[in-house]
Amino acid sequence: MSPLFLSLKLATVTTLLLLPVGLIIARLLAYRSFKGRAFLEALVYLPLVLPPTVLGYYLLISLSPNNAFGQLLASTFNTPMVFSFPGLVIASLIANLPFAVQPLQQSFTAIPTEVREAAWVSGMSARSTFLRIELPQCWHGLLCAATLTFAHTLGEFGVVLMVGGNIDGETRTLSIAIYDSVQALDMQAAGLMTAGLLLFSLLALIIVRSNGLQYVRTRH
Amino acid sequence: MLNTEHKKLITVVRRIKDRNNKHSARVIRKYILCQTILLLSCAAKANTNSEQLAQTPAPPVAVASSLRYSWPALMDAYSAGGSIRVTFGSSGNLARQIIQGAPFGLLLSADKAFVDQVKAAGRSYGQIKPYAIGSLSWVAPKNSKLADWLQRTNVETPFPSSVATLSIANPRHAPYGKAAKSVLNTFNQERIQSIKLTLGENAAQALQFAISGATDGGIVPTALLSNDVLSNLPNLVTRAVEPHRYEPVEHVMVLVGKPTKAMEILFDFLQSDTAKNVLAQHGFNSKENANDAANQTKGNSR
Repeated sequence: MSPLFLSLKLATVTTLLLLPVGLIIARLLAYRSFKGRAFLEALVYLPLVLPPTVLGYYLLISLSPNNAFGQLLASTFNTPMVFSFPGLVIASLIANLPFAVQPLQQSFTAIPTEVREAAWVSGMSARSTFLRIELPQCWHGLLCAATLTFAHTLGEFGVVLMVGGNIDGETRTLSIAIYDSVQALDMQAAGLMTAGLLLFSLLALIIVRSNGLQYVRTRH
Repeated sequence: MLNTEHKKLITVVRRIKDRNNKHSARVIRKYILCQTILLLSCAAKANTNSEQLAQTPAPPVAVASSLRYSWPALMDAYSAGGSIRVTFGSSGNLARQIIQGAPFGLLLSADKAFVDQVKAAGRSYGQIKPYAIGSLSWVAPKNSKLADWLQRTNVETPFPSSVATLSIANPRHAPYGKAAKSVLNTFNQERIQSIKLTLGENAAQALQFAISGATDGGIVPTALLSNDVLSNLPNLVTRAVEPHRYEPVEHVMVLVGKPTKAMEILFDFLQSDTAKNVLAQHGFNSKENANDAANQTKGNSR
C-alpha cells in the first residue's frame, strides 16, 4: 500500500470515527455545566499544546504488548496495537480530538438559546431538537471539524513515528515517507510528496475559512 | 408581550425545521451508511485474515541504515524474489521497536549488543549470525574547512581548529555514531570538545546532515559512500578513517519472532557468498577480509 493511500485511509477512518465523538463532547461542553467541566475541556484540548512525542510516549507505553492493557487490547482485536494500523487510528483519534471538538463547540454555542427553548416549547423532544434544530445549524462546524481532522491526520508526524514506526504498507504514512526519502537522499520523491501535502493543506484551510465567512454572512 | 415574542420564535423554529428536516435526515442517513460500510469492511478484512493466515505476506525486515544504499543491490541478487518490505533505522531504535512488539521478521543490526537485548527480551529466534563488517569514513563538502584537512597527506596533522560543527549518528542508539565518537576521542580533547556535534537519528541522516552544507562535514559508514552514491554527489571529499582510531563495526543479524519460510530463506541468503560479494562491492568487509586488513596494518606499523 502506497504511503499516499495509507495516509488517505488513516485520515478517512479517523474522521469518520471522530465526528460522532466530537459532536457529543462539543455539545456537552457547549450546553452543560457540571463538575469537572473545565477539567474535561482541558483534557480535550490538551493535544493542541502537548508535544506529539509526549502523547506518542504515553501511547507507546500503554499500548505495548509488554503490559497487561496492551496485551488485552491485542488479544481482543487480534492484532498488536503498536507499530500497526489500528494503533495509528487510536493515536490519531486522540491527537485530533481538539480539531474535531473546537469548531463544533463554537457552532453549538452560536445557536441562540431562544431558538432551542422555542423548539422545546413547541413540543419537540431533546432528540428531535438536536436532529432538526441544532445539527443543521452546526452544518458548517461539522464540515470544518471534518476538514481539519482529515488534513491534520495527513500531516501528523511525531505521534505516528513513535507509535507506528516506519513500516511499509502498515504505518509508513505520507509524512513519514517524506522523512524517509530525505534520509535516502531521494529529494525528488520528497519534493513531490511535500508539494502534494502543501497544496492539500492549503486547500483544506481555504475550505475551512470560506465556510466560516459564509456562516457569518448567513447569521447576520 | 411574552406571548408575541414566543409566537415569533415558534415560527422561526418551524421555518428552520421545515427547511432542514429533509436535509439533515439525508445527511444522517448517509453518515450511518458510511459508518456501516467501514465497520463491515473491517469485519470482512478480519475474516479473510483468519482464513488466509497461511498466505500472509512476508513480515517487514528491520535493517541498519548503514545498509541503505547496498540494499537494492542485495535484493537484485536475491534469487528467491518476492518483494521484501524494509524499514531502515538505527540499530538501537529498531531493536527497541522489536522489543516493544514491532512485527519485524528479521533484524539486520550493525551492533551485537542491541541484538543481545532483543534476545534477552525473548523476541529472537535461533542463532545470531555475523554478515558484514563496516568501517568509517570522513566526508565533507568540497569547500569546507574539514575538506582542506582531509586532502592533506599527513594523517597525523592535528585536528583543524577551524572545524566548528561535525555530524555523526547518535551514539546512544546508532553503532556507527558510537564508533565515530571513539574516533573523535583519539584526538586532542580540548580541540574536540569545542566542536558542536550534530547528531543524526541514524547513520543515513548523519550523512544527509554532513553533506547538507549546514555542518563542516561528518564521520559516516564507508558503505554509505559507495560509487553510485558519490556519483550523484560530485562536490564531496571523502577519506577512510584510520583503522587504529576505532573498533571495526561488526554487523550481526537474527530472526525475530516465529520465522516464516521467506524470512528463513532471506536469512540464509544473507550468509551466502553471493550476498558477501555484493556487500564487499558496497564498502563492507567480511570477517576474513577484516582480519587480513588488521594483520596488514599491524605489519605496517612494526
